[in-house]
Amino acid sequence: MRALKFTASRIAGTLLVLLVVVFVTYVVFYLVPSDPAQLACGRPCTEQNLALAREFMGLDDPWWRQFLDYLGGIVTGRTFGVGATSIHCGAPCFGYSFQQNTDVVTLIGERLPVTFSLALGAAVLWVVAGVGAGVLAALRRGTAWDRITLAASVAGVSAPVYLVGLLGILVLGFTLDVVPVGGYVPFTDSPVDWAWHLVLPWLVLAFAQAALYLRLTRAQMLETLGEDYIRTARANGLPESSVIGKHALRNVLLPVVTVFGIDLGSLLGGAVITERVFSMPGLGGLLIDAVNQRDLPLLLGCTLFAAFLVVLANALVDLCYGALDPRARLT
Amino acid sequence: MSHPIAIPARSVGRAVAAMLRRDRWALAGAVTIAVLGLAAVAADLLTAIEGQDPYSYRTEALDPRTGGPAGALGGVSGEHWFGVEPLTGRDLFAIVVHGARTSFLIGLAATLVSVVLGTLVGAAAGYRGGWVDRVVTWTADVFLGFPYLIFMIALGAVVPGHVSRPLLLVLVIGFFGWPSIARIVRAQVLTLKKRNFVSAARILGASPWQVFRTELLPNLWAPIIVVATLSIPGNIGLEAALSFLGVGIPPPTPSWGRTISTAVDWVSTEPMFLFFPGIALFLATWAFTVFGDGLRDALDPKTDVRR
Repeated sequence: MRALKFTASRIAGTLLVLLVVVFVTYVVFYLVPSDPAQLACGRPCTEQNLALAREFMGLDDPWWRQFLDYLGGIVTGRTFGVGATSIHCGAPCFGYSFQQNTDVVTLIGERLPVTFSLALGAAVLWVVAGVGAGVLAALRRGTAWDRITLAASVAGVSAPVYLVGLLGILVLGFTLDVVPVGGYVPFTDSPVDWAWHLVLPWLVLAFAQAALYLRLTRAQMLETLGEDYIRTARANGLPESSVIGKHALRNVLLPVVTVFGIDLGSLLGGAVITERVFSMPGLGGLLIDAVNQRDLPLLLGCTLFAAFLVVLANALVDLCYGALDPRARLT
Repeated sequence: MSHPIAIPARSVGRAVAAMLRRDRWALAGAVTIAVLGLAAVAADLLTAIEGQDPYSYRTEALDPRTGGPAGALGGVSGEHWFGVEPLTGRDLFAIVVHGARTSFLIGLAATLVSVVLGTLVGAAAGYRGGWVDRVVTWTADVFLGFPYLIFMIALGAVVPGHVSRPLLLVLVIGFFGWPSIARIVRAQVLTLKKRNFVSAARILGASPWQVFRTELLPNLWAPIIVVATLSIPGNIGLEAALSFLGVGIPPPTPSWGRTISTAVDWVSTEPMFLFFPGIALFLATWAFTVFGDGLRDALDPKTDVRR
C-alpha cells in the first residue's frame, strides 16, 4: 500500500513537472520572440502569404488557445488547416516542421537511435568505471593509486568533452589508427561496426563524468567505512568482500543514484557536443540545423522532447531510489 | 550534500592565505588563475608587444599549397608566438589572450548573476519556509535536471538578432546556475535562523530584508564564495561549448570554444592550432576547480576530500 502511494505520488509529481515545463518552454519560444509565421513564410513573403501561414499554423488564436492546442496535440494529435491541403500530425504531436514538411516526432525518431546508443553506452561506462575506481581509491586511501586517480579525476572534471574527444581522435584515431574517428553505423546493419564506431565517443563522453563519480564515490565510501554498522559487520567476522560489496556499497550507491538522475540532462547535452566532434547524425545535428534554419516548431519540439525524456528518466531513477533505500518510501 | 559551516566573513581572507601556504594544488590553481586573468586584462598590451591583433588576416603567414600555417609547429615564430590560424593567418596568440578576456568576462558575469539570484531565492526559501520553501526546492530540482544545453542552443535561435549575444549568454548561463547556489544558501539559512542573534533581531522588529542584510548575509559569505568559485569553471565551459557548437559568441570576437571548433577540421594536419586554445581552456577550468576545492576544504573542514 505504502509502495503504491509512493509510486502514485511520484507519477503525479512527474505529470505536474511535464505540464510546467511545456508551459514555460512554449511561452518562451512562441510568445517572446519573433513571429514564427514570418520565419515559415518563405520568400517572397507577401502580406497574403503571411496571413495564410498564420491561419494555417493557428497563430491568429489567442495565446492560451494556441497553448491548449499544442498540449492537446501531444495527447491526441492535431490537424493543421482544413480540406485537401490540411496536414495531420499524429499523437504524440510535438509540433510540425513546416520547413521540412514532416512532424517533429518523425524527425527526432530518425536521429534518436544515434543519440541513444551514444548516451546509454557512455552512461553505463561512466557509472561502472567511476564507482569502481572510486571504491578502489577509497580502499587504497593515501597510496599512489589514490593520489593518481584523484589528480586524474580533477583533470577529467576540468577537461571539456570536445577537448577530450579531439585528443582521442588525434591519439587513437590518427596517430595509432586503431579506431574509427567518426560516423555511425546502425545497430541493425552490423552490431560489431556499430560498437566499433562508438568506442571512442563512449570513452570520451564517459571520461569527464566518470571522474565526477569517482570523487563522489570515494568521499562517500570513506564516510561509510567510518560508520558503526560497518565496524559491527567486521566484528561479526564477515569477509571483507561482503562488508564492502554488500553493506558499504549499498549506502555508497544512494548519492550516486541521486546524482545520476540530475546528470541525465547534462548527459544529453554532452551527447550533442560529442556528436559534433565525431560527426554523428544524432539529435545534436538536428538541433543545430534547426537553429541555422530558424525552424521554430522543430526547436520547440526538440527541447520539449529532451525535457520529457529527462523528466521521465528521472521518475524511473526516483523509483529505483525507493527500491534501494526503504527510508525514501516513507516521505 | 555538503553543508558548509558558518565562518564569519572577516576570517575568510585569513583562511585563504593559510590555505595557499598549506595546499600546493590550490596554490597552483591560484597562480594559473592569476596568470590567465592577467593575460585577459592585459590582452591589448601583450598583443601590442607582439605586434599583432586577433582580427587582421595575414595570408603571407600561410602555406599557399595547403592553406595551413607556413613553417613548423603551426607557424610558431618570434612574430607569431603561438602560430597562426589556418586559412586566415590571424595570430593565434592574440586570439588566445583575447579569448581569455571573453571567457573570463562571461564566466564571471554569469556566476555573478547566479550568485545574486541563488542567494536571494535560497535565503527567502530558508527564512520564510512553508510553501515558499517547497516551491523553491521543487523548482530547483526541476532546473538541476533540465537538459539546459539543448534549451540554450534553441534559445539562441529564437531570441531576436539585435539582442547582444554576450549579454544573452551571461543571462542564460547565469539563470540556469542559481539552483546549486540556492540549495547551499537555503541549507545554511535553515540552521542560522534558529540561532539566538537572528531570533533577537526578529523579535526587535527587524524586517526580513534587514535580517537578511545584517544578520544572515555576513554569515553566508564563506559558503557563497566556495560555491561561486566552483561554478565558474562550469560557466566558462558552457560558454565555450555553446561557441563550439556555433551558437555562442559570434565571429569575429575571439572565443576559445569557436577556435577549437574550427580546429576540429584541422586536427590531423595542424594539431598545434588545437593545442593552444585547448590548453588555455583546460587550464582555466582546471585552475578554478582545484582552487575552489582548496577553498572548500579550507572553509569547511568536514568536506575535505584529500586527507
